[in-house]
Amino acid sequence: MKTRPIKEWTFFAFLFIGAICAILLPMTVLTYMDYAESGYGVEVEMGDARLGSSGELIFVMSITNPGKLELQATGAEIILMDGSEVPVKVNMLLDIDRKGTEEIQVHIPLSEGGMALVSQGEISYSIEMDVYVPYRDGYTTHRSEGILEVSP
Amino acid sequence: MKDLQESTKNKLDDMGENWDIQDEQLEELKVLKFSSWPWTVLKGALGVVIVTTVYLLYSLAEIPWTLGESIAGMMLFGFVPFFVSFVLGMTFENGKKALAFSLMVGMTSILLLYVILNLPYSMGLFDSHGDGYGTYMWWYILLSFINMISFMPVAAVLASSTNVYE
Repeated sequence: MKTRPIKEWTFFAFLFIGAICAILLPMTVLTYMDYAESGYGVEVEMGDARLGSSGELIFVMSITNPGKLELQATGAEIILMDGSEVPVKVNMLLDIDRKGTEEIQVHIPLSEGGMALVSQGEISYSIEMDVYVPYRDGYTTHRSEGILEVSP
Repeated sequence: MKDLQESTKNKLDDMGENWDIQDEQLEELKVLKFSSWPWTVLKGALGVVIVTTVYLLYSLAEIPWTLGESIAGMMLFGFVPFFVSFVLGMTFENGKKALAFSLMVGMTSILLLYVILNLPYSMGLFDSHGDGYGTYMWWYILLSFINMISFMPVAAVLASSTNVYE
């Protein structure tokens, strides 16, 4: 049996797979390092914001885990850019499953300046959330900022 | 007597022709094996890259394109190192050399896997970490080592044994 063509094609397949892996390897390593440095790829979205009866801002925070490793969100600091910029501590202990999304309702008391800003319909925020990764036994921080739209 | 001389001459001619064919085949084999040293170095480097990538993707469940915990991923985890080692083994006619070369590539991959898995801790990328981080890392290094030591030598020796005349 002639093995020559089989060998040639195997070799070319090897070169092709090698080229793919040469791109994939640095990409994976950089993502892995970036995850450890900044919040394990967790995405935070704020939605459904409204004003409570006693001058507080109520919104739903949804936290999404992109990978197949269980994570824990252990607490967050939210700063509303309402002039005072006092961080509000949010206590939570959320297990976020593989590729899962968890939602938590947050209440933030507003200052007078904050009320004035919110009544315009939107307020910008920044968030720092502590993430614990049980399988890697490491603590990391997710940081992001955005604009919260408040429905009247 | 003359007949005998004639037939001996013919036989010698045939032999000469056979030598030519054999030389041609040897030359083809050399080209086929891509066994000059630059090719060998390139193959070794690509081998390390491919095997490390597969082991790493199997170990890292947090990456969205991970190979862990899927049937296709497990199959790739098993077959890719075999395939790589098969191609590396085709470089050599001597089975021992093929074995040594593929094991060198395999061990380098395991070492590289350890260095990469350890990067977030050695570079201090986590805010802080406990002592338990080693458990899963070593588990996946052990799995990868068992995979490497089972599949790569077999494939290398198998491939080098196919380097005979067709």
